[in-house]
Amino acid sequence: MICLKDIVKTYNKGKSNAYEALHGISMEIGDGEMAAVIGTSGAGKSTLLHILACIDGYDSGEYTIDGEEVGKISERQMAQERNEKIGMVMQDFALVEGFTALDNVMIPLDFADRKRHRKRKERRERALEMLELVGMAEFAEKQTNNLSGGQKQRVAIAWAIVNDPSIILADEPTGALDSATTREIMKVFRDLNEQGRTIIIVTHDPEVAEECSRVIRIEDGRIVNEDFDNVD
Amino acid sequence: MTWKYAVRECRMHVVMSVLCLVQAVFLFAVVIGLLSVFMARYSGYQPVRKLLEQNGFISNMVSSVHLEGDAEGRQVHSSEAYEEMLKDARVYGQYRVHAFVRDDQWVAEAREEDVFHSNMRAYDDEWIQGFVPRLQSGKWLEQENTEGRWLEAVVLQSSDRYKTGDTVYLDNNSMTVLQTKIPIKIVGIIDRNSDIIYKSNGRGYMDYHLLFGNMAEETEGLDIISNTNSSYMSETFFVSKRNLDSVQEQYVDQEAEENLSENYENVPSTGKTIFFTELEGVVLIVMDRDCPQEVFEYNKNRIAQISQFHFLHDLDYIKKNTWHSIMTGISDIIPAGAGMLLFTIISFVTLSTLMYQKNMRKYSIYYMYGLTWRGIFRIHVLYISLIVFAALVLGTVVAHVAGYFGIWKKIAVQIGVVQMGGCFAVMMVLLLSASLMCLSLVKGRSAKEILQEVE
Repeated sequence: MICLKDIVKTYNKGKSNAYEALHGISMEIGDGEMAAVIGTSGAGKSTLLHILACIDGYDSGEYTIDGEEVGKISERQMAQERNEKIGMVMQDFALVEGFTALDNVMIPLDFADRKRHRKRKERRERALEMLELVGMAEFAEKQTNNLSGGQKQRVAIAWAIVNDPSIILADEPTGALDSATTREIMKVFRDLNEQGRTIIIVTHDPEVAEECSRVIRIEDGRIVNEDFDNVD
Repeated sequence: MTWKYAVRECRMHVVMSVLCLVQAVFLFAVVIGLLSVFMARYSGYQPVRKLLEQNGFISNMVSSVHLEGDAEGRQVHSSEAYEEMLKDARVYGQYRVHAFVRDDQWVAEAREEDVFHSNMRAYDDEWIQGFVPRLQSGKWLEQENTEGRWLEAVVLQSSDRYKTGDTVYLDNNSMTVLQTKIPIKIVGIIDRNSDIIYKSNGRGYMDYHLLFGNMAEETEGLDIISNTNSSYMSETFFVSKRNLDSVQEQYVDQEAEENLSENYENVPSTGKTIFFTELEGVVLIVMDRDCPQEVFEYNKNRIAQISQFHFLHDLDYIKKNTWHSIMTGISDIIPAGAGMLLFTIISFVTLSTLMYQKNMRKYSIYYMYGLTWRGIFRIHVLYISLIVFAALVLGTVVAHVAGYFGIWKKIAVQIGVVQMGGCFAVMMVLLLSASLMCLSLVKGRSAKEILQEVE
C-alpha cells in the first residue's frame, strides 16, 4: 500500500526562481492496483512519480510504503527499497549504453542485498528468464544501443521486474514508441498487474490511461480528479 | 560487485583510462627516481645521523695529554679522563690499545727485536651502538656479559687469517711477558670494503664521510706496490672498551703478583691496567643543545690545548655540509618536480572528473536501481585506484628500465620503503583530490536532478 499525505515539493528552494511543483498531494494506492497519472506538461506528474520511486525528496508531508515512512529510513534502507520493492521504467528507457541487454538486466540483481547470496550463474539465469518474459531473450547479448525503441523498453521492463518488485512505476513508458509497440508494452504491464503487482504509469496518452483501472489527474501540482472505475 | 563494476569502467573508458595511466606512470617514475637519488646519498648518513646531529665537535685525534694534576704529561687513556678536563661534555672515544694478537713465533721474534705493533682498537659504547659496519660473517660487538674472562672482537683483515668462531690470545705490547694468556673470541669479520669508524680517511669531504675509514681504499696502493701490507693494516681487532676494562679487572691482580709475572711492576703503575689505551682516531665531544656559548668555546679551546689532531670541526658545520651535499642537485629540481607533480595532479583530477561527469547518467541509473551514492562513489574510486595502482607498477618498471639502460644517468634506481612511501603519498593525493572533486559533483543533488541534467 502506497500512501501520500500532504506532499509538498519545491524546486530551487531559497532561490529567486523557486517554485512549488506539488502543493500538498494526498492519495492512497492499494496493492495490485493499476493507476495512471495524467496531466499536462509541467503539472507535476513526473515529480510525483520520482518521489514515489524514492529518487527525489519532498519538503513536507508523509510518504509511506507498506506502512513504512520513507522520510525516516536511512539512505541504505531506501536504496534497498528501490532495489527490492520498486521497479522503474523511464521514457528514455534509462539503460546503460555499452552494456548488453543481459548486463543491464543483471544490474539490479548485482546490487541486491547480499543476504540473497545469489551466485553469478543464478543471477544470469534470472535475468535471461526476465528477458524471455518480455520476449527479448534472443537479444540478450546485444548492446542496447543497437536495439529499437520498443526493444529497449522491453529490456527496461525486464530490468524493472527482475528483482520481483511489488510496485512498478513507469514514466511515459510509451512516449517514444509507435502505437503497435505501445499496445505490446501495455500488454506486458497488464500481465504484470494480473500477477498482483501495483502499477503506476505517468502518461499524457489517453489510450494508455484507458488501460488502467484508475486515473489520477494532476494540474498545477494538485490532484483535480480521480476516476476509480476507469475500466469496465 | 564493486570490483566487477570498477573493472567494467576500465574497459568502457579505454582512452581516458590510458591517458590517466600514462600521466600517473610518468609521475611515479619521477618520484621513484628523485627519491632514489636522495636515498642513495642519505643512506650513508642515516646510520650515523643521531651521532652527528648533536651539539659539539668531531675530531680525528692523534694524542691527548693531561696538562695538570698527578697525571700531568701522561697520555689520556679514557673518555672519562678526557671529560674531566672539559666542562659539561660527553666524549665518545676510540682507543689505540697497546696490545696485539699474533702467533707465538711472531711474538718471540718481535720481543727479540723490540719491534711491536698494536693491532687492537677499542670503542666506547656509543660508537658500537651508533654504527654497524658491513660484516663478512658473524655479528657486531655487543655489551653482553662475558663475565670478564674473555674479550669479544670483530676483525678487519686483508687476508683470510682469522674466521668467526676462532679463539686467539692477546699479548702485551711490551717486552714483558703476560702471566696469563687472555682469550679473544672472534665474533665477526668485517667486510673489507665496508666503511668503518676508525682512522678517518675522509677522502677530502667536509661532511659525514669524515667519520669513516675504508680498508680496501687505504690498502689499494699498497697491494700493488708491495706484497707486504703495512703491518697494522693487515689485521685489526676491534673490541668494546667496556669489555676490555672488565677483562683487565679479572686478570690484573694475577698479573701484578710478584714473582709470578714480569709485569708486576708495570701493572700497578698504570692504575691497574694491563693494556695501555690512548684516545686516538675519530672522537666525538658532545654537549647539551642548550649549553651556553662560553662553555662551547671553552671546550673547543681546551681540546686544542690538550690534544693533537688531524682536524677539529663543529658538528653543526658537518651537519650543514652533509645536508648540503645530500641535497645538491636535488634541491635544484625540487621546484620543477613540485610543478610537475601539481600539473599532473590537476590534469589527472580533471580527467577523472570528466570521466565521472561522463558517467553521471549511468551512476544515476545505478542509484535508481538500488545503489547508494556511497556505493557508486566506491565504484568510481576503485576504478581510479586500479588505474593509479597499475601506474605505480608500471612507473616502477619504467624507472628500473630507465636506470638499467642509462637513460637516467647516475641514478641508481632503488625500490625501498622510502620510495614506496613517496609513491603511496602521491597515490593518496591523486585519489583524494580526484574523490573530492567527484563528491562535489553529486553533493546536495538528487538522482533525478542529475539524470535530468545529463539528459
